[in-house]
Amino acid sequence: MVSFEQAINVLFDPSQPQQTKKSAMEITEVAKQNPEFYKFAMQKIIELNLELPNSLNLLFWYLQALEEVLNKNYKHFSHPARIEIQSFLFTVIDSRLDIIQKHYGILNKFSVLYVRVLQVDFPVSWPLAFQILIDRAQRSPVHAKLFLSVMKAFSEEFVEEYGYLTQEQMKRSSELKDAVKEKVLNGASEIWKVILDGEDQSLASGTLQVMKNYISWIPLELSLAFFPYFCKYLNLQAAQVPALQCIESIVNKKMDAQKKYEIIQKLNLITFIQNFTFEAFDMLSDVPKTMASLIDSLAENLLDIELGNEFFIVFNCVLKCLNTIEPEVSSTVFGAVSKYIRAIKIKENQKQQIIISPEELKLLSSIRSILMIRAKLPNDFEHVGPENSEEEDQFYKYRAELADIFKNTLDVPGAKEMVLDELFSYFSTLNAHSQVEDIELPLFLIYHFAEKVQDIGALLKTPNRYTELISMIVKFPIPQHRIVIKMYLENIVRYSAYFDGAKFDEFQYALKYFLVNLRNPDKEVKKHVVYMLYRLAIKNPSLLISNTQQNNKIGNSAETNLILHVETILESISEAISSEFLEADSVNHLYKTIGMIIGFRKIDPQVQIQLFNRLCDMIISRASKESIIAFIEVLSGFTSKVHNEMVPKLKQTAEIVLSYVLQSEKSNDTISSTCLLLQKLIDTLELESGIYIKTGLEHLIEAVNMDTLESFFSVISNFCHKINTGYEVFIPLELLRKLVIQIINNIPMPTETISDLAQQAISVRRSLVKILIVLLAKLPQFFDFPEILSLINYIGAMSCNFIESSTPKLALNLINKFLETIAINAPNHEISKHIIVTAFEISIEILTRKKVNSITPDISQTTNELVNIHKSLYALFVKHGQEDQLSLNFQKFIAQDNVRDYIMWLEYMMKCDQKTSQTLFAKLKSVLISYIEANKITR
Amino acid sequence: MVEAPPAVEFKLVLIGDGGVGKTTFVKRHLTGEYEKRYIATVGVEVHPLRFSTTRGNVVFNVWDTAGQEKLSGLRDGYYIGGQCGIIMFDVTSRITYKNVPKWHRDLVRVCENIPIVLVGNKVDVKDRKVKAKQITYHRRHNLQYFDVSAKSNYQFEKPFLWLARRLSGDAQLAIVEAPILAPGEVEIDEAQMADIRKEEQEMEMLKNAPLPDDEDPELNN
Repeated sequence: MVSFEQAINVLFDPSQPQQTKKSAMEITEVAKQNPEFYKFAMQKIIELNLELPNSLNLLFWYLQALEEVLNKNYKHFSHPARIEIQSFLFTVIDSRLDIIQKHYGILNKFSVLYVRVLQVDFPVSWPLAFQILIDRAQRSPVHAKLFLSVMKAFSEEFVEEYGYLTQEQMKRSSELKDAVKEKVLNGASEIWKVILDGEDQSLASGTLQVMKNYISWIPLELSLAFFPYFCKYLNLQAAQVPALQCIESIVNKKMDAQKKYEIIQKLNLITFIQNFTFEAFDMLSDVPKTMASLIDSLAENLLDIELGNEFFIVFNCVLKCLNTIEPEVSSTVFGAVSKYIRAIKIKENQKQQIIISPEELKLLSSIRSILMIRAKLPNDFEHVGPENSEEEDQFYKYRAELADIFKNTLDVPGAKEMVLDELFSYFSTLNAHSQVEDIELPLFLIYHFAEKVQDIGALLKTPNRYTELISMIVKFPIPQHRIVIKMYLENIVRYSAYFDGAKFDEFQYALKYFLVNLRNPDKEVKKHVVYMLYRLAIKNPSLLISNTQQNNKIGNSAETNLILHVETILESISEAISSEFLEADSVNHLYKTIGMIIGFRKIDPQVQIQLFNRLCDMIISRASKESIIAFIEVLSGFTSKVHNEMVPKLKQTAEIVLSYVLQSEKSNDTISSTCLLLQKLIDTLELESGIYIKTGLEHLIEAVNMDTLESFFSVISNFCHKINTGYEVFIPLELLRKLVIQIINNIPMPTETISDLAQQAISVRRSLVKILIVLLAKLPQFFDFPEILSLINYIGAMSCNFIESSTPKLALNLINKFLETIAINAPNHEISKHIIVTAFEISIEILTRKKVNSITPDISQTTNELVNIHKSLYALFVKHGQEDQLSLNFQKFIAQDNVRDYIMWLEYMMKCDQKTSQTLFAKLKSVLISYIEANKITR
Repeated sequence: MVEAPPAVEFKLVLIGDGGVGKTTFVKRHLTGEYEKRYIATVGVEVHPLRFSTTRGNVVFNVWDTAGQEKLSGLRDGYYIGGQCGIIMFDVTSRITYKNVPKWHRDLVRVCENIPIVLVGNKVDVKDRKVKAKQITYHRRHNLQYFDVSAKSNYQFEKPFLWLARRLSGDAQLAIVEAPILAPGEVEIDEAQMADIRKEEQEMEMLKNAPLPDDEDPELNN
């Protein structure tokens, strides 16, 4: 048994065992429930000997527990209890200040406790709450700190940022703010002034930090009275940031636009920011960023006012910030820059077109120029993406933002032409010896430029400045630097439409660049080239299969040779895969690329056959269990059956690859990839894939588990759907039945949806219903097995388990299909009887116990399925109503007590289902009622 | 024999709502196993995470605190002595992001001027609920933000690297030896990575967009 204070110490000791911590927590939690706990805690705090070890822990805990109790219950405390607590707070301030001094966290905890009380009692029940602090604030720095800390905690308590405020809280917040304005601000501002006039820099900085939270709601005049202090503290390093934030709070204070302008003028803020020199500050400190934020706010506010000259002065400061070398500072003014561009665009789009002034256009042009210059990479950068140094990381993110703003500037008429001219002129000055960053910059810009061009293909068809620039870029001798190579390739892919205009030579040049770099010793470059080639194959496959004409002169006659790009590509890819180390992802991308090219529908069939055979030979020659992915990737390019001439090679490759896979360990990965390969074989071989499907399914069925079941069933489903006839012999029905029995015996109905196990069970059960629906349609003989009754029960239970999302709907659908295909034709068969009874039972369950209605879409879908079931049942009555066995079935159903409820709900369904004939239900109802009447006596 | 210089140790407080993945995140380092089952932390657990950096070994004693109120024990009592912090939320749960300001306020009330990183976990999940453009809190409060995925190890070391740089005052500090992490439970594929990058870019793009007066109304749902 541990003592109370031992329990607190246990809580502070993370090395204690879980059970001990739980027991300690129980002890302390029980204590807090005692209505007299607050007395106990206050006494402990007052009596605490701070010399004792662990005294900090105990003090913190008592304060925390007291704050928690007061936060929950203080407003229900009696008046004497409240007085007792107020006097405790007073005692601490006057007699136990050492407590507050103990730790920064204790000071704040005590302040929060103080605020808990005053936010209920001030001003009515505790009018002196603030005055006590104000009166003492000048006594010592600790008292001053306490005053500031309470003011800060007070300002934080009613801020929406810390959580949703109820109407009541909002109302109380307004009352408190009004009371503070009326009764506290004078005294508080006097203390603020005393501190700001004094020598204690830390207190002064703290005061400014508190004030910045108040400026938005205290009278403007009071804030303005402090403006000289804000300026004064701009010279003190520790207070520069909060001083600037206070000024920014004034700028952002909600008020009439004209009034704001007057204040900005009165405070001379424009001159102030104009004179600010970023160079005087450490650019990595927070000051330049905070200053940039002030400039940004000022510019955004002036934009709302729409002023002439002053606005341009402020915007020049914005441009100065934008142009600073430090991305963090530069990006701080993106808000104002974007807002300005938006404002110009809005002007442009006005119905009554407002003329954009030459100054505005000039400013826009300056913004764009700075953006274009700032987008240049620092010359020591080595990496392509933001995966390395913090500096690179930060710059790449910054540049992405720059690019977005740059793109927005292009929306203004005439801008695109101007940029193209600038880039063309700039690019014309470059050569193979130019600096890497100089070459990369226009590539980067033209890459983003494309996003603002609506129909690139059409624009690049006829010669113009754009095509001249692209042509120059394509043929440029790109230096061996990974960043430039990346940008070059990105552009080739983005501008692939440019080559559609019979630009054989240029594409030949670009393609060569891709293929040469497949052998680049730099792993990163190689990886990127592979990926870009893959993207090119997705974007413009016809480009990669087209021919290049070469005109050779032999003697007096000219001969035209056709060089197939795809041949060259296959050769290079084959070489890259065989001779160089590539990451597995890259190898797969290469196979996928070549698969997409060869599988492209516009390729010449003879060429396709020839290349496919070569590719298969390549896979066979290095066949291993890993080859399955390569083969899948290649086949991904083909979305339908291959030419007959390709079938033998495809089958040969499939056999070899499958033999490796089937010999290897049946891991989840292997099962999934084998299923994927079988799917591809179905697509490309159709019925001829049957033998592989059979072998594959037989081989995998024993190993298939909850993770892989869905893929496994998809193979069967796809095979049955794709092949019209003759598929039956390839499905191992007996094994499949065993698997289904295994599922229904081992996967129970989930009762929750949170755990991984339940999620998996839900997924498996849904897959099971789906495959059963397929089997019922395609292979009804599957259901001819003794356990069919258990299976129907299992599906019946599933259809009522609404936590399984859409599964009940599928299950109901399956039950209906059982009715339609099995029961309708042989209603007196044992299985049929079971189906009919199950259909009624689940209807009763859903309609009477689950109270289904058509309120939500899911339920509505379920209701539709129920309606369908009743249609089938009705059809069954009509067809076999006179048969004795069927009557017995009904009697069994009607014998249930809740049948009347059921009928009532049927009536309800009639109302909510508009599509189904009410007569249908009426008939069904009358049949049911007549059965009830007929059986009254026997019951 | 020359003794290796002693490692510099820092107390790191890891906080955030229950279930956002704090324990999973911290257990990716060395100890392996991505915890499939959710076992709620009682009170606090301390995990020393060692990083080999260009300025020697740095050990972060990570105080992995309970996010669930009923198991939280001391709550901010654990923050005492904290030298740096990570506030974690779950990008697939809006409420966990909405609660970030509370966690931040409570932390800075106990720890004065400490470097803090805001971390959005579970970016490997395709159905992201807290979009990049909604993550603005860090901008107002000078925090650093990183997307992470404890499940795939994505950007695991980034928060620690940033904190180590801030605490050492060396902006060039780098991790010289990658921490041994348990293999990723899931892989972020190219397409997902592109989505994440897009989100990141979107966030950067919006980094300096005007901040809304109040929290995003979408997050209030």
